[in-house]
Amino acid sequence: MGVTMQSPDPKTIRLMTVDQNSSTPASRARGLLVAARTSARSLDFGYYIGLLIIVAWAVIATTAYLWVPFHPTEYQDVANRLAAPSATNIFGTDELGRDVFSRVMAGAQLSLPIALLTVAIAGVVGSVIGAISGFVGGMVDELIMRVCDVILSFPAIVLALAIVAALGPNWFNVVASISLVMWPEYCRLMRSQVLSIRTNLHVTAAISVGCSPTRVFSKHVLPYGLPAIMVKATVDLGMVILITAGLSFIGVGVTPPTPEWGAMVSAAQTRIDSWWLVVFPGLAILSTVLAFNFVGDGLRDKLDPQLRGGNAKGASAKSMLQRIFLGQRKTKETPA
Amino acid sequence: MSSELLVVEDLSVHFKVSTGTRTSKKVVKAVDRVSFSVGRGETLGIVGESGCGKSTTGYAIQGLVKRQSGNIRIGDRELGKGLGRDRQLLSRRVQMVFQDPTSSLNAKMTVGQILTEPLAVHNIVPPRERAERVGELLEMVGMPRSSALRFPHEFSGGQRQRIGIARALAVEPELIICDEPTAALDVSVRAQVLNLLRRLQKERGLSLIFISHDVSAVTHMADRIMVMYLGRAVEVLPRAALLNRSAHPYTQALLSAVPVPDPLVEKNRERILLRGDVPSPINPPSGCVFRTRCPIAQEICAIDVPKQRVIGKEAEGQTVACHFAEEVREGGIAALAASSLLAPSTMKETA
Repeated sequence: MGVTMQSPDPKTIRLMTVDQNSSTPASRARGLLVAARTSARSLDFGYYIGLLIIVAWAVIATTAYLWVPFHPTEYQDVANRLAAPSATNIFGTDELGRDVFSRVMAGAQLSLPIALLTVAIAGVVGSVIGAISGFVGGMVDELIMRVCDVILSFPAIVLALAIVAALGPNWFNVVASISLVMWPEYCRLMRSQVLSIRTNLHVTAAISVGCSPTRVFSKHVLPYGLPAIMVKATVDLGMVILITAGLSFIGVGVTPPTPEWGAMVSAAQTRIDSWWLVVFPGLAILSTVLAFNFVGDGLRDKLDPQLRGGNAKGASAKSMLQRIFLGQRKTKETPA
Repeated sequence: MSSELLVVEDLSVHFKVSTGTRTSKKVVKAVDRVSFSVGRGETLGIVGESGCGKSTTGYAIQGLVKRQSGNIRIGDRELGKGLGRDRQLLSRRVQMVFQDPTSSLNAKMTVGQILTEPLAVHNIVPPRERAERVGELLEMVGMPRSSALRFPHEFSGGQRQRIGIARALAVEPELIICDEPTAALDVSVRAQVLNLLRRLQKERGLSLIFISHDVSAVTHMADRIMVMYLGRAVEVLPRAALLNRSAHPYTQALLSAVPVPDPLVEKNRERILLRGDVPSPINPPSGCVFRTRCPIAQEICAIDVPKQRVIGKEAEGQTVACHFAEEVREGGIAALAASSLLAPSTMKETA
């Protein structure tokens, strides 16, 4: 018979078995380096700037009525209407002569909670339902998806408008209606995440170890699905402020004269000449959205052990590149 | 009770595949009536090319895929067909080491958390002693205790596979199914992982099922070897018989494809080249599944499915599914194909 084969020579095996114990001085030094990098990474600029802005707005929101120079709603100086920014009215005045600075500061009291609450409700409800949909599958999945389709088939603003109109215009109904319109988006996103994650090998391994379905879901599926939800949530915060503005503009949202950023921007649309009417509340929205984006981004990176301690400067473009690079390497390593 | 730890009888795993139109659902017989057993402290190697059902066999034993038919017995216990009920019990006695250690470890958990999970799920070790046990497990696989605080991505492929092995050991199972544990690893660390598995097996009297397409790795590891082709077990033979007493044409062809680290031998030996591709498992050939590529296929091979039967002395434990096993074992497949005794028939062309 023409087959000959040799079993591996024991000597070669011993040679190959170099102990990979990582308690050598070199590897200990590397460990220190990683630790140093991690602490440098925690100086992540965007994350802390964002956090600072959010905290500042939160403080302003809670205390604005105590220190603003003019009362946001009751003070009206019609003689001084549509005045450009000056020493007394640093953000100028609006068409009723109200102080824009005071109104922007006071507006935080309503705009921030509306945005946060809406995204929180839509995000949590949507993710939970979507996760169930993806994990359970079958008829449950089918049913949930059709409900989502129905809601998604309406333009968001129209549906929200109808709901607020039916419930009555106040800020809580605005929150309820926008979350009702928004949760299917989170549902869809979470479902697709779960569907792809549940086929991952680490999930199979968890089942093999003997984890119960609940444990598999909470420990091995959910943590992989959350980053995408968080990114969407930070982007949606800005969206919610703008939808609220739309509702206010039509007259079903926050009722005048209550100060609210979106309503202020909307009202300013007809007065292009008075740029300060749109710029200052606009900047308030912009800074909030940016801040939440920064924090969301930073938080996601911090929650991802593969990125944590990865780069010293923590620029998000750099971490993105690294992610792309890591992703490519991963696919290369996967054997056929 | 017998010394067999695991007895598998007539195991079949079928997958439904849709072939485009909704009405015509075809069935892939990924594993088809495979029987084997694993003794206590024994290593059974399963070899075969990709798609032959060797991994699916492992998954079916571990209850990760549903089996169509067949009985699986572990110790005295017969396992139910469902995926649910016996899971908990099964995973205490049987654990698995996966092919790709990068994707089989949860990247969001520290090594310590990964290793604590089986202890917590099965409530084997009281919470206070779990950290200590994790340390022991890490040392067992040759990793420093400090690894527990780090994440899987901070380790090399070989180290990650050690973590995977430690996870499998955590519940102190009786059987570990290794699904191509070295396929995703660098050649330089393969031997380390193999030797680690062997050492652990010896120390703790484990049974192993070692699944691989790497014939030399399997011969290094296994006491007995099962050769699979297109979802069937074509031959089961002890390691000692592999080199010169294999009795199935496919086994011999497979062995002749293994490179020999000696240029002279390599140059002079005859290689058995199989023509064509593995047939589609959706539409397997009639009779013997190997007949379309077998150099000595005869008419009977297309008609009769060869039964798995004992060849040689009973005690040697060699079984084979070939009509001409005796001739193949004596003569060698290359010589047989060349002689007129079992000349290639016209069956192949008509298949």
